[in-house]
Amino acid sequence: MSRRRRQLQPTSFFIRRAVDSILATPVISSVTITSIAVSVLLAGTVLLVGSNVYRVVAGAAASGVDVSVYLANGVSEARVVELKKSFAATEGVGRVQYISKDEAWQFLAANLVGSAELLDGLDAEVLPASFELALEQGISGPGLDSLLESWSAMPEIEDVQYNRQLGQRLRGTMGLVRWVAWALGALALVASTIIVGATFQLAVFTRREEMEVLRLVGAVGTAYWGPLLLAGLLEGLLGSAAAVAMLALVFRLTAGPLAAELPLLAGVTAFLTPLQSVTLVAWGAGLGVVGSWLGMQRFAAWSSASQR
Amino acid sequence: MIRLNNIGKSFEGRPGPAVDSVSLHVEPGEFVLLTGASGAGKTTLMRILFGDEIATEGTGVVNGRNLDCMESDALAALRREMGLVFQDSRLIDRLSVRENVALAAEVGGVSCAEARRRAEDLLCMMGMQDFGDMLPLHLASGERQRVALARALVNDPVLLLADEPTGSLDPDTTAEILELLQEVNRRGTTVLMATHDMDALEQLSCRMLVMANGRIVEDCPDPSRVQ
Repeated sequence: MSRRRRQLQPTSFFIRRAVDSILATPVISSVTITSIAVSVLLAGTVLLVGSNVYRVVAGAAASGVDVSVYLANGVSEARVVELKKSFAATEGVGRVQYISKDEAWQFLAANLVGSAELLDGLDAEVLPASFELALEQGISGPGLDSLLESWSAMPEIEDVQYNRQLGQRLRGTMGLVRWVAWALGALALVASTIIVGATFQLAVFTRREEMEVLRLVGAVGTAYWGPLLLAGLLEGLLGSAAAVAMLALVFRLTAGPLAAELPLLAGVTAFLTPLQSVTLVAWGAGLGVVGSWLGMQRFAAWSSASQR
Repeated sequence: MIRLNNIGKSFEGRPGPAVDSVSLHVEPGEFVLLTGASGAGKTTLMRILFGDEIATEGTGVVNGRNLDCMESDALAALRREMGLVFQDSRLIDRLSVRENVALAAEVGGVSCAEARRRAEDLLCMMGMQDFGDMLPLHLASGERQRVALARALVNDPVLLLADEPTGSLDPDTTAEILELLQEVNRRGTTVLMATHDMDALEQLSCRMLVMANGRIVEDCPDPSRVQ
């Protein structure tokens, strides 16, 4: 009994065995890394496009919930300045722009190009001066309603118009964008886990004689599975890092020309945040570990069915 | 070292047990030959001893470990306490000779440097010191068996189980392998070797168990001990 010893492998054992495991089956390892890369690329594309669409829609929604506050006739310039300061200081109000009667007239005339005769006989004084207010994204519901009511009650204000319908529709679209992104992400996760699991199973089966030798020389637990799980982690890291790098490259090459074609995107689109990028890489690494584990489970089931 | 009590093993679909009520007691330091015709049950008995098969009857203890109630950790620990040699050597072809031997030591928890040192020592003992960097694919059968024997010994086992280790070797190489096994035994390791190789049987003077139809039908003591 005195010759019994504890089994405790140094870290270098796992790293060497894991790297060796990857290099032992280069074709299968390449397929695994590629599968993970494609999976992360798909998820990353969904995330990148989704977050940018969300940003564009959110921007449109924010600019679409403008409130037009029409002033009564005869409001003094001093009072206009006071009102502008008051609006700007109100919580939930972003941009404030004053449009005088003349400016409103010029704007109307500019938009009636070709039908300018419609304005014949009309005086610029007929249009009211107004404030265009851009609301911040967070403000909605009862808070927004009470704000609109308080403005309507002011004596200098004749009318308050709020394009509620457009805001709600855009908010609905944002919800849809979010759900589609989640669904596509989940689909990519399931599909890639199955594919990666199958490639790892193939890798383990290819090396079943070696696994058999390890079993016979007394490898168990971490010594038996550890290097393969670590190999899965390394392959996952490689594949996902390559995918994020490729995504960044494609974004860099396409974002500029796309914004030139679609002014709506100009200044709005952005690449993934560092947190999102790290999450994607971690997801790929996790995918490698889970796929490796699944492959080993299948091998273990096959192995125990054929022998103890 | 080995104590079996009415061990039996039956396989589904096979008429009659492969091993039938085998009782056996092997003392530490013994060299025991297990012989018999093909299908006599030698390999099944060996597989029971290293935990690759579970006996369907009886009880067994190897190096103090109960064979019938062993968890995978205990089974692996038992395998690290014993050395195994098979007819087909079972080397990992993409690892070098030295790496094949050292790997078994590393699995046993030995550092890389110590594992390589042990591998070098054993390859030297096996006369394979110049083959350390070669791949097993480029070795002859006898050389492969020497490497397999070195691997089996790298964890300094208390028991060496050799299942037909000379089965595919020519007479000269068989003699060399048997000499090595005897040397291992002289150094204190208990050796149980299954074989139906007549050359091996003629060359070794040791205790011999004869199996037929799953049973041990003859237990001839070591002539040197009888004297």
